[in-house]
Amino acid sequence: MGDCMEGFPEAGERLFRILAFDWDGTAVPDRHADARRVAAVLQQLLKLDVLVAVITGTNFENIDRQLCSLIHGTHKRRLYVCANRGSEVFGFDIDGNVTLLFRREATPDENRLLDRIAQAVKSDIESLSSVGINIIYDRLNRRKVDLIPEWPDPPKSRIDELMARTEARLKQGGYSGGIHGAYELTLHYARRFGLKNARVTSDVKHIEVGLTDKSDSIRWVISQLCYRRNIPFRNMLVGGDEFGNVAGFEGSDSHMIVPELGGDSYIVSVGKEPDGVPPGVTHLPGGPDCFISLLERQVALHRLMLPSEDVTALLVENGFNPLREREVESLLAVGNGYLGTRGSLEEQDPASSAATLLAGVYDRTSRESIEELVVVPDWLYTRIYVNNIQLTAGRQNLLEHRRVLDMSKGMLFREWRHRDRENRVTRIRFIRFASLADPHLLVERLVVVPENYSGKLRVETGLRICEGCPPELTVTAAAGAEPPEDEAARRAAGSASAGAEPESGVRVSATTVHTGIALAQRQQSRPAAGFINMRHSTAAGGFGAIERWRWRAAAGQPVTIDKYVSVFTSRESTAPDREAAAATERLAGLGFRPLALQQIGAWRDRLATAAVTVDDNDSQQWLNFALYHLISAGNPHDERSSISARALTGSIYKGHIFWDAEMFILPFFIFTHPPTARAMLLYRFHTLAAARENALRKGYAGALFAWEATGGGEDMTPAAVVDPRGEIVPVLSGKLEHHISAAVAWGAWSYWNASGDEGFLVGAGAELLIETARFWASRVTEVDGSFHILGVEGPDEYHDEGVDDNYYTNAMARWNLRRAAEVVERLKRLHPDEWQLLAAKLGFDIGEPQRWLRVAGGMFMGAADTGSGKSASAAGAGAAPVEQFRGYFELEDIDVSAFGSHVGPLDVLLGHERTVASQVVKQADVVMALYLLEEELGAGAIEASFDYYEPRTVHGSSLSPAIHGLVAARLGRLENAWSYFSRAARIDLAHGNAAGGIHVAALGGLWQQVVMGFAGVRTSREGVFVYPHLPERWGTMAFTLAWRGLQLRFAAERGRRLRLELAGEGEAMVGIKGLELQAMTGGRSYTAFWQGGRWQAFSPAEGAVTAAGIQEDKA
Amino acid sequence: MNTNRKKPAGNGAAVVLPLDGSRTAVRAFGAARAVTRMLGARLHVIYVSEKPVPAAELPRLLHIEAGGGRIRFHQISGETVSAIIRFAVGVDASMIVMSSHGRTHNTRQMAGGVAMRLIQHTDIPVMVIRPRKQVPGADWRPRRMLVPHDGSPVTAGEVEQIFNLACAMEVDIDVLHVGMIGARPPVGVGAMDGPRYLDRPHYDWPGWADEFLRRFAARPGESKVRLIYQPGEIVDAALDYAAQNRDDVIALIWHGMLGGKRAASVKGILMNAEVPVLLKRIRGGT
Repeated sequence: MGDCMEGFPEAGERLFRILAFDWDGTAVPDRHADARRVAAVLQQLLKLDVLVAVITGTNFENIDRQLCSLIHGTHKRRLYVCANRGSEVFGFDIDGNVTLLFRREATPDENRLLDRIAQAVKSDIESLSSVGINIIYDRLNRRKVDLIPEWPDPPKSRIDELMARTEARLKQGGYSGGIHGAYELTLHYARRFGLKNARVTSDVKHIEVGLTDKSDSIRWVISQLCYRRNIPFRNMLVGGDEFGNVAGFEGSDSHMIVPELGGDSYIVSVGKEPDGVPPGVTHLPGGPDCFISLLERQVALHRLMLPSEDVTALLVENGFNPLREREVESLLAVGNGYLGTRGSLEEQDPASSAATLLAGVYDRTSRESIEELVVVPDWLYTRIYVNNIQLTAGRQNLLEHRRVLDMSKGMLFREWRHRDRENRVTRIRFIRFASLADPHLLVERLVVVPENYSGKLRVETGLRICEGCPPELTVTAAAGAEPPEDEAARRAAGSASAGAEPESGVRVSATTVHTGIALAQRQQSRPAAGFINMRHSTAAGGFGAIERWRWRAAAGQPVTIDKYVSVFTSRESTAPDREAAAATERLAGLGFRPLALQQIGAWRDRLATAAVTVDDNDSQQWLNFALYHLISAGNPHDERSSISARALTGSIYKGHIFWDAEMFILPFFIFTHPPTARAMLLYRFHTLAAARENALRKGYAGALFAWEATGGGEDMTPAAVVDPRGEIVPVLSGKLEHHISAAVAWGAWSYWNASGDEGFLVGAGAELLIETARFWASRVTEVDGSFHILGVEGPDEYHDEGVDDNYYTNAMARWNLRRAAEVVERLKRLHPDEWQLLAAKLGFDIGEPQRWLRVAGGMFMGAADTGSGKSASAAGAGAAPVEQFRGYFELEDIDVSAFGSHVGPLDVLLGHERTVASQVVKQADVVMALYLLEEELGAGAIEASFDYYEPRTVHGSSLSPAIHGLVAARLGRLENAWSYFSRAARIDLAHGNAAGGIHVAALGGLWQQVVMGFAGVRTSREGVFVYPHLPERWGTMAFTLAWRGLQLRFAAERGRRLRLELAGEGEAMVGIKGLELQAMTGGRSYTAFWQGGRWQAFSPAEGAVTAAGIQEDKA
Repeated sequence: MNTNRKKPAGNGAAVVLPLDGSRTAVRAFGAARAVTRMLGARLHVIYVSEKPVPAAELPRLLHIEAGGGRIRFHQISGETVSAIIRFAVGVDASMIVMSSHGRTHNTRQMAGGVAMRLIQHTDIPVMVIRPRKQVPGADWRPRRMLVPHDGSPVTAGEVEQIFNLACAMEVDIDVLHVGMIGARPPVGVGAMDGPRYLDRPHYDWPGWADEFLRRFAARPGESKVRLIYQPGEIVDAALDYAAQNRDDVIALIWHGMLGGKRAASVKGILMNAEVPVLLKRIRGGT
């Protein structure tokens, strides 16, 4: 039925909050039709808070039997039946009992008049002809003169036949006036006998004379639903099937077009309308089927604006617990990589740590201190007052409170019912989002409903400066916005709401004290159109700037206020305030719904390439949580900043950027959104100068990236901190964790390899690889022909006082040196001109690659290589584990599992001295190398090393469980891998660890565990290998990888089948791990089967690869 | 959080000192007077006896030499512990101050029978003064109070009353969270133990401490609050820390059951603390 609505795009765009429509002919073919389909749709709409008014000429009992009896639930109270052609209105209470809401009572005189008129018409016709006429008396407030009694109940679909037969009957019987004559006669007698406001109509079979018609019904809807619920006419849909003339008479539905509507509401006719429809009515010929399709489209649209029905896409927080609030705020943060806003309550509860953070906007608390992210003015700030008393979320007055983060839409919904001391109940609803489509934009909708009282309401909403949030900003707040130059544009952009000052808004301008970043925030709030007079004012001062809305509301009257905020800084704009002003104006002009739809679309698009689908609800929700926060953290438009350890969900890590960015987060973007990965790496490229300086300061060549970096790349690692016992302890990671340089090189190479972005390699990637290789070449110490890296700290930070030959560091350095040499060769061969320029820029020595390869070839890789035999004995028989660093195996071997449960981190409980002197490992160190450098180690060493280090690792870092799970999955130890997966997935969700922000790197690790571990993906220069090992709880898993311009869509069924679709154009080499790579073509699908206890090679297949498709196939 | 927001100090606030006429019991008098002064309260000295004693005789009988306008003496009857609690509830006492021992002074025991039963049966905070050589005098001005906290919501619900008292007494608060091998993490919505993950200890530790204090010790008053994380056993950790950092009071939240091997921490601290111990039973504890 898509076609029937071609002329009415509003069906899928405009949310109608009132549906007022004729019954038979519009919603059902006739009064005997099966109404279950329309009842089901109406039931859904009623549940979605839509008010439904059936406007019918027939009596209530008919509609009750046909429709109302099919609708059950408390939402039935939103159903109204305007029956008996405008004479009655029925509703339902919360228990579903029928309530008479309105009845036009005819006086005895009026009843006598109606009888007289009908009898006079009958008498006249019968006296002039042989035609027999019946009068139907038993109708409330009207009489029906039946012109064709022998056809008792003609269907509307046979109106043409009915008209012909009735006319023939009258004329053949001798009444030459026909139907029109009868109609005129009725009018004549109504006037003659003095019936005031007589309503004379005809449906061809009858001439009706009465006291009411459908105009009375629609007027009841206007007064009781539109006015009382503050719902503007434009949010009401009026439906019918007879607006145009029928047999020369005004269609009965035309009475629903009353002057009060002023052309504002949407009116559609689904009838045949042979004579066309009056102006203002949209004709959608298609009958009840079309009308139901329209309703179904409304259901979909209403649902779109609500939290998803997929529970795995939701994160729900019921109630309000001050103990957990800061943790909840992190989990429910909204963001888009440019900015992030914690999920705080709008009214700023004392338990809250409200914060909006902007990537790259750092400052210092003093000239000597390290940089940290600045908390910018809180754009959520909103306070609601009832009769001048502020509503707060205290336990005593919280009737209901619920926050729902829809992770598929990037929207946070908040529902709140508040009861004050005088038992006044107020319902409040917020929807907020940070636009993914345009990262400068923030939107919030507020709906306030006084449920059981009438009173004065006030909303103050604005940009609140954070007090006591170091580093402090230099702030200017102002109320009102300069009017746009074009007065007409200003008017056009203005709100339609009565009493509002459309041009008013507020703004805050700020500058960071030490880093000199200018920031501008602009806000405009607009009440949604309605009938309530809203008074508007603004205020500004040291607190910030607010808009204030005041109104009087009656019980049940909702008011909606939409708030549009835009943020710009001097990092990306030369005139941030002007850009913010223009953007806010544009936003407010667009309105909430289009922006919300834009947001929903942007998230849908991102998830189309990022989603990982599994058939286990818990796992799916965990994965959705990870995907949501990863996507929220990335910004493809900003190559001067990267993703910090807690993203933009909390300031505990000051927004510093670690190796986490490249090793844990970047892979997700490389394979799901390459532009974001590219921007992250260009950030490193732009900070090369600081990295070179860092290396030079430490006496090395090349680039040593800062262990903790901000916008400029300088090292922000503090030199010392006060520990939990009040002692000052040095922080050595900034001095010793040099493996970050290899991480950057790894990221650059991996992005180039997966994307095929040769421009990146030539313009930035090669330089990153070369400068990091230079660092390693200078960092080594040559002893007896082998090269050692002395005095470093590996990922295992328990051994933080400088170890020699950390396996992970040495292995990654070796990898870095070799890849850099390869890239130099590639550039010489394929991009000679660019290479010449780069070589000149870098002062490249032609002998450098040989030196790199010599160092790589001679890199000390542990005792096993030297034949000391220690490794083999430590591992028992078979392959030997690699030694984490020189001397590690000599340390005290502590059985970590013997400690059982404990309160607090094990290294602290053991004490630093004992921990350093033991083999206890904080996090994946050697195990990280087992994952990244699988090909260099071989299966035996991987297994032996994993077996050795796993029981000695306490996972004191959130980065550890997922990497262990990944390696366990690759080893086929699925129960073990599952255990790590469920642990890693719940780092933020289950343990109360998230108060300072979510662990976004751990979430990136989770994605890697699933894709690189459970799905067994490996990439190389040649292509992509895959080898799924799904855990017991998953029957299926689907995911997509971006690979050199193609989208590789994988869908695996455990122990059965692996399907692959290549979306896009081009070729790719893909294969089963352990078999040969296979040439595959874009646009084609392939299938591999599990046979003989392993995956077999792919063969061509048909059909698209989707999780749903797999389910269907299985069914 | 705790809904008990009764103001612990100022006019109308009350401190109760039960005495049995022994010279051991009256050694809590100095602390009681000091607390009364700090809270701006009235001190009710009570003597439980079936035999009527003229009011004027009570100070002498109870070995109290100095009286004053803020001290009232009462002789009440009934079963001793029940009578004390009934009286304290009746005057809406902010605190009961008492000596750990009375007439039957046996210092090998943690406390005398009355004190042991009293602390198990009242929700009113009880400050127990062990009758050592040095006990607080009327001029006692405690500066720091050590409050061990296990990070459970139950403790959080009770500790607020202790914090209110500390604020009213203008005492700074040291919140001590003890990390233990073999201990089970606290349970309940909002529970929090030591940090699970220390990705970067120099950020995670302060972050954890800030969150712990926000969660369990967000005080609007004047008292300074600091958090200490100490590995080890609770008794040793608390006693050592209190000794090293000159905490003047140790406050304990407990479940109110002393029988058998229960409440080992309370017993250990009561027995060995050099400073007064303020006990707050979890409401409805026994």
